Amino acid sequence: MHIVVCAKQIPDPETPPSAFKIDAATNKVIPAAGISPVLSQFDGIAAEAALRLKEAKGGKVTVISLGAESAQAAIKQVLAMGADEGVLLKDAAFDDGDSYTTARTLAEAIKKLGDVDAVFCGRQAADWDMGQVGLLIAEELGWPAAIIAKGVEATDTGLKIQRVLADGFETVEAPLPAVVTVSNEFGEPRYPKLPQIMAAAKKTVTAWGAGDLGLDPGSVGKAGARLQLQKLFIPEKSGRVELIEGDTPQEQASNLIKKLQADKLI
Amino acid sequence: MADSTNRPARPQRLVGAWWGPAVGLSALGFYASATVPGDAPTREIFFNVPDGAWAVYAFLAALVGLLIFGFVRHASLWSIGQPTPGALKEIPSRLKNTVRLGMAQDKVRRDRYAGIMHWCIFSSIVVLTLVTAQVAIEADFPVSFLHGDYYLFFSFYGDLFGVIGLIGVGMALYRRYFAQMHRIRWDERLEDHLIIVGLGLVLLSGFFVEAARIMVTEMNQHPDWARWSFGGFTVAKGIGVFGFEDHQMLAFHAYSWWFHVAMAFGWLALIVFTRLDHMFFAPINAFLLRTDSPGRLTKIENIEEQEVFGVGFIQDFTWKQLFELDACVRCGRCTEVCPANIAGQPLSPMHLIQDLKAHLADVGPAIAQHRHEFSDPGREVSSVALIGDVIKDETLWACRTCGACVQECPVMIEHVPTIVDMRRYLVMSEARIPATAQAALENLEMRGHPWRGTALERTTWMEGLEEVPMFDGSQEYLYWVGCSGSLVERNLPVTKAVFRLVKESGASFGVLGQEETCNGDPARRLGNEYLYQILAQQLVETFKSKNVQKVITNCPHCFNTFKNEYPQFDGNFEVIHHTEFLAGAMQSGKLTAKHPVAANVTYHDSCYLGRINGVYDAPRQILEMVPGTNLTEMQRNLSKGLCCGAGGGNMWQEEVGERRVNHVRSEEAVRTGADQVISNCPFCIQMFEDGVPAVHPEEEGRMRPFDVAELLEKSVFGETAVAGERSS
Amino acid sequence: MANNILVVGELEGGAPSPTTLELLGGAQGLAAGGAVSVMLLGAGASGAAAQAAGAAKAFVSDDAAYDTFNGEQWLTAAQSAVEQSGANVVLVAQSVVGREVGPRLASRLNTAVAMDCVSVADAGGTLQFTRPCYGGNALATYTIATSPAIATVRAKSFEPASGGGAGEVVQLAGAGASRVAVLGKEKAEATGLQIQDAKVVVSGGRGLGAPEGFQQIEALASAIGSDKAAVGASRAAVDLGCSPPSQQVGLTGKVVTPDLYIAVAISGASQHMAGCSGSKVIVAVNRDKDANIFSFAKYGIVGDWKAVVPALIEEFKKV
Repeated sequence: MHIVVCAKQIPDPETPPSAFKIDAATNKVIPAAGISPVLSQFDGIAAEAALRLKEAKGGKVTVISLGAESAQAAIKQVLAMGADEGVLLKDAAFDDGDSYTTARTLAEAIKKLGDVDAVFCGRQAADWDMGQVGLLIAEELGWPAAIIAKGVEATDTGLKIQRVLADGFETVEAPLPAVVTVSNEFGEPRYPKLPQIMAAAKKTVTAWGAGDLGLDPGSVGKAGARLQLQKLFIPEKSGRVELIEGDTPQEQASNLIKKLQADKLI
Repeated sequence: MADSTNRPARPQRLVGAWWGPAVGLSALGFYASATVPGDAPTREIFFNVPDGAWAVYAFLAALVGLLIFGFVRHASLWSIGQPTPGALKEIPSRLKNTVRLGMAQDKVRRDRYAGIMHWCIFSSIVVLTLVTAQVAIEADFPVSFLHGDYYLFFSFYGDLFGVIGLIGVGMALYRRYFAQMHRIRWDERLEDHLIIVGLGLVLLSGFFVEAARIMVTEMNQHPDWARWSFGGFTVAKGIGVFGFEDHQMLAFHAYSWWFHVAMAFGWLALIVFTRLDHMFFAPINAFLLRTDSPGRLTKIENIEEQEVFGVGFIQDFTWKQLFELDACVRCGRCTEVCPANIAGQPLSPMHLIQDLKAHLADVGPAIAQHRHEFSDPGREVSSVALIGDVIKDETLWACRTCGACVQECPVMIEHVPTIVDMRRYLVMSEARIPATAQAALENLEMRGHPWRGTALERTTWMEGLEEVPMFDGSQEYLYWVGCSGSLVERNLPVTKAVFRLVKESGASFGVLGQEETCNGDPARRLGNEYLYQILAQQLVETFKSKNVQKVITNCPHCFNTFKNEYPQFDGNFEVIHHTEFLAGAMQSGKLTAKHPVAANVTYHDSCYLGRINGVYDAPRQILEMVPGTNLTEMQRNLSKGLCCGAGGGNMWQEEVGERRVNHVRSEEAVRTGADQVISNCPFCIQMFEDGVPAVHPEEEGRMRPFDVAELLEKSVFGETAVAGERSS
Repeated sequence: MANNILVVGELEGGAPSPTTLELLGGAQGLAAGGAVSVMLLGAGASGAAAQAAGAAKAFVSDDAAYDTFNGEQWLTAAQSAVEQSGANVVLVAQSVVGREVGPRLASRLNTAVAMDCVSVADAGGTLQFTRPCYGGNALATYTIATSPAIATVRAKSFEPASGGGAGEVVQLAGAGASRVAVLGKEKAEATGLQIQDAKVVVSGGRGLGAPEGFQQIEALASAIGSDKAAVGASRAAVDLGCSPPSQQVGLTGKVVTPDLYIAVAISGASQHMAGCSGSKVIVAVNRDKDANIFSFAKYGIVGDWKAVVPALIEEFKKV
């Protein structure tokens, strides 16, 4: 079985709030000093799911990332976990795309690989938190999909997937080839063994641009995007704790709940 | 300083070297032998045992053969180990260790009772061996010196050391059979009884032989000679009460002589089969003891070219590590001081060493055989896994690398590097790590610090401080804040305090701010040597590019790795801990503790500042110089201090066992009645912050942990000034 | 500008779900003279159409096969509803349904979806979709030039619709084929909600004293909802035996990032905060107003938990 893992490198979600800044002019996050981008955590879990399947059924795992040269680090991380090959989709034309252009580019790369049986993605990228690239890849490829998996196993004909629901989980079965997005309920990604880290360091990552994938530069990246980002901003937060007033505990409790409702937390 | 009577004795001089005078006396004997007149006091060698001579030599030959056999058997096991780099370098300091630790037995004396007991037995065996040797020389060499005054003196000290030996045996018997449950009985075996009872019988039978001989010879002819052999003389007087006749005494003498000789050789043969072999292995292990700092872990050279990382198979230890397994005498001192063990956690350094030793004995011969036949390392030979079967994972993770076991071991076993070597295998070869420790390592890789989930930045502590100078190579000192000092809320006040004090002292210094990254210490202690080397190399480059010469560290762990481990990466900097800097500044008058701080404090030695780097005085000097502050030492202090529980990466692990180490240590601190527990380490402070409320649930009157610098800050700037600073 | 809006509704107990009503409420506000319609699938859908307040038209199928959500089946129905309604805006809840239907519908219709919106606003004729991103650190506002513009919307983002149900009911085809077969469904066990996955975590600390105090914490969590709130504990509370180690939040326990973290009688030691400082909102209940936890909290109640927690339980039950 040949499984493709889509891995994204993102600004560190654990960036301290005080270091998280946005450039209002470009609507982009300003990389925080001394804080390196990381592999999106859900993608690491997707890699874990793919590797377990490979260990159970044999085959190979290819990791694909769309991003800048620095995304090599994310690819190497998945290679160190045990993936066999890495592909970096890197082209200025890919920049500033949306979920659709990302999925389209990834789908073309998967087609180019040719013999892919399954695509595993994280349930969402931990930066934009959209959670649609996996499904869009499935649509681009015309494959079935199962999202937010907490367990994946191979059957004779396809994959049996446990999906997380709001109040439990369900088991679905999909024929191959298929797309699966994996959730954190699946479990932690493995810690790479040093020999594999070394081997990964020596591996060459294939780099493909728009031309290699036969994509018109005008149809990908910012040019092809269907979602237009108008504004990216940090919601105003009062720095200090707001102590809830009230003469009685009941009053305090009710005032707190009003605040939480206003914040759409409950 | 208030009460520091608990200071453990520090090694002073070679007081253990009583065998020295004995050698001198023997030499004197040779000299005297030339000048004694013919009818001077002497005795017949092999009196009453005509066949004695050849029997003794036959026994001796058998013993030597047995010793050689034993040594070869051991050596074949050690030989399956890896090379030990530098084992034969720095010979002078190694010889010094052999004398100081191997013969003078400085470490044995860290337990006073055991020290006296062991000295009695040790000196008795040495002197009586010399006594016996002199008898042999007198009998079979063409020299004669056992006569005259020297003979009388010879008789005297022979008996004296016989009695001393019996005192030692008595102390040992008391400790083993009558004292409360004692560490020496944690792994008691038949041989322990044989050794002690056997030695007692050898010594006692010696006195009976002597007594029988005296009764039929000197007692009648030269009672004034006989008195010099006061031990035998006393026994003779005792036997004399029964009024045996000479022929009976002669028969008794012959029997007891054979008994004595057989027992003596039999007992010596135990060297081959029991822990008595420590009489050779301990001094040799003292010779092999590391000559660099105990705070330094071995560097895996050319790590990228290795195939196996750390030790997952017994043959991957160095031969020195295998050798030291044989030196272990199961005394239990290591386990007695092990913080994990004290807290009921699954680590006993003694049992760890013994388990490794037993495993070596089990699989070593087959591995040696395999090596002989094939050229591969033979890692498939043993079906028993070193880690998992012989040594449990949780045992390795429970280690704090505090060095207490190494410090106490009387035969110079170095447990910590052995444990870390096995951790290295678990982490790098097997990727088998407790989840939260793994998260800390991942955080180190991804974020350059071990504090996952921190909401702080490396510059957060600077807020509210005026003008924090950045280090640019022009200043004398780099003030290294460290990850804990900048990213853990509780430690920010310490960082600020050190900053303000260093500034006040007028020193020229700067900080790196955002450019700081973890120096790798937690990775190394947790066994990820690869990650450590990457981080260390990067930081050495940074330091060099910024022309760093002197570093003041907040944290003893940073201090240790900069000072002791960075030289492995060609990073040689002058490193001082903030307590050393501050004590120095106070002594030279650059800082004055002018405001009284009324506080009853106790002081906790962090392992990496205290035991491992020997900085005990500087922090105490500061406390002494703060007016109004009164120090009460804890029961365990200085080199015998107990770890806070966080060391060796345990800051980031969930503890397994009956209790938490920090609860145990907090209890000890609370017991002093002090209202502040002062330390010098960001980990210790955090552990006390957690531990003290656990053992002292009422908020009222609860002890608070502080760093030395926080206390000093109050005294230098005034408590109100500091409080104002805090609330702003 | 008038918007024709289709709400992809969901049924709950034979009636439109509360979130569906919220979406309809939002649609009413955004329609600006355009038509609001709703799609309802599953047994009783035709009947439920009458309760779909704010919708003029309902596209329904009573096929019980729709009761179990299957993406491909729903997708076909939704596509047909969009075509028939002529909608230029489609609103779906950010639910199991929305997460899958939103992106795939967008793909099939060559348009785009904004996921997990907390607000959809009409700014001079252009709809602006605002949604949190970067773990809640930022908000992003999008526009969608292609039609229909699709959005999945977080619960409680709109006031529920008022008024009568759909007057016109259009039947959709029954459930078609799907390559994905749903084999079965299991309810999470009572304790099945993992603390790392919970939207709300209620944690107790040393200040609770005895295990009895923890029962109050558990009661509070179940008052908030056992499907979204889980119980956590500080290390000190675990040490006291009040809580199992699996619930420990902190450096040596679980790291949680819920939307809401309610810390009761927790002082806020760094050990603990490392495990929860990524929470979107922290609420602290503590007797000591100087407790460290208040420097992390957005809201705080200074008071004895023994009085505050029962009051909270009572008030949460009313929600």
